Amino acid sequence: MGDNQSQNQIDLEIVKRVQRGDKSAFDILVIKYQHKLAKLVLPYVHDRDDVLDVVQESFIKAYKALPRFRGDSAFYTWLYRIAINTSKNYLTAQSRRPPRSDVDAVDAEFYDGGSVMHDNTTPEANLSTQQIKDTINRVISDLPEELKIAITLREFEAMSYDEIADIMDCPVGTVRSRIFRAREAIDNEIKVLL
Amino acid sequence: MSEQIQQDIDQSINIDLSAFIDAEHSEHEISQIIDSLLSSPEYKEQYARKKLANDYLQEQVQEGIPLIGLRGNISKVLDDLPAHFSDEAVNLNVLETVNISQNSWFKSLLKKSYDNKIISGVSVAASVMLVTLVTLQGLNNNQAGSFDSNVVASSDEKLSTSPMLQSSLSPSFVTPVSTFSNLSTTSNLDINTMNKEQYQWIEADPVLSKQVREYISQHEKRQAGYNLQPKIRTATYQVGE
Repeated sequence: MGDNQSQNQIDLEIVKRVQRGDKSAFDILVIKYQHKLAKLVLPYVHDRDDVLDVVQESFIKAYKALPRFRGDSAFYTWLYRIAINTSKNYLTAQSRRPPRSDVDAVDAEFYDGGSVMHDNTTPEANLSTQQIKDTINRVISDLPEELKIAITLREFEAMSYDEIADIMDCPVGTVRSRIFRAREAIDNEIKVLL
Repeated sequence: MSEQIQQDIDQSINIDLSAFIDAEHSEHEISQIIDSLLSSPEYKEQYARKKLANDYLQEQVQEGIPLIGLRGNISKVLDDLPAHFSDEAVNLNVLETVNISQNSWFKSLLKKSYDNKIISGVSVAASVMLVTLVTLQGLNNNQAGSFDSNVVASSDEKLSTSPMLQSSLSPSFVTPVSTFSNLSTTSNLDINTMNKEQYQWIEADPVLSKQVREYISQHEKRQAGYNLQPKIRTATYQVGE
């Protein structure tokens, strides 16, 4: 992931558009944060079928509260706080006890919820998830060496483009292009699955 | 040749999108990319897929949680929500008029609902105005204590040169209508009066309608609280032919 300041810059630009009345801009924020939010609420919402509902409700609450968002904190921190509160409300409504491990909103981004998740997945959902994962891994392993190194350093090592350019001894523009081409190759394969 | 140029442009845009996912964009690219995402559904879907792959690789995607459909569900809910952002952003003095005659759906609705087009056009606006006028009646009765049968006509004369009519020719809205300080009753605001040109207005926008009602309500409370001379401000739309 790029540095948080750049990510927040993107978020603020999108938030401003939503605040100006462009509802469709909110969809970009949903695309960007839906999986992170699902991962975040999972320890609270044990029933996986309800994860979708809690994530959805969190986004709706965020949308409704967005006119009052002034950018004093990072958007994702604010959104995660809403998601955690929504999850806790869900637990209260379900008369369940909160999970033993609690997550602070500030730390939420770095929290790995997978370690405490319960395994009650549906076979269909697993198949789809596994299919996509296998496809992505296969495409990456079949990539030309230069593209494979670029995308691996980016996605697995979370290196910046500048760092990758130093390692690969090439201009940053070349890194941009290589990562793009790797993503295109992945996209061409997974779009038939979705 | 032009096809090649188009392909180059597309590739350039897609390279920018990839950098956007990594927040490795340049500053001037942000608005451009967001504009493209909002204007092209295909481009947005491509972004969604690439972000999904990105999330998979960074282990953000949890197995067995089907988020497919989430965006559609959220969009559906957002569509049903009032446009509260524009409510907040709207300046009461710069609302735009809507010419009802251009809205065929609304016209057909009017035809279905009412036999008399003019009455139908007047009814909604009249309901707001009547409520206001009835309130004013009480205030003015207390102050004036008498009723002049010509007051409606004189009020009409004021209206005919008021900014409201002028604004029917220009797109500014909610303007001061008139001072109704000498108006002490609504009994003469009959259908003949309402048929006059200046009353042929209608509220077609529920959000704006709500806003106007709240505005009038607040205005009346202040007016009553400070015992001020009543004035009416209203948002109206012209019923075109």
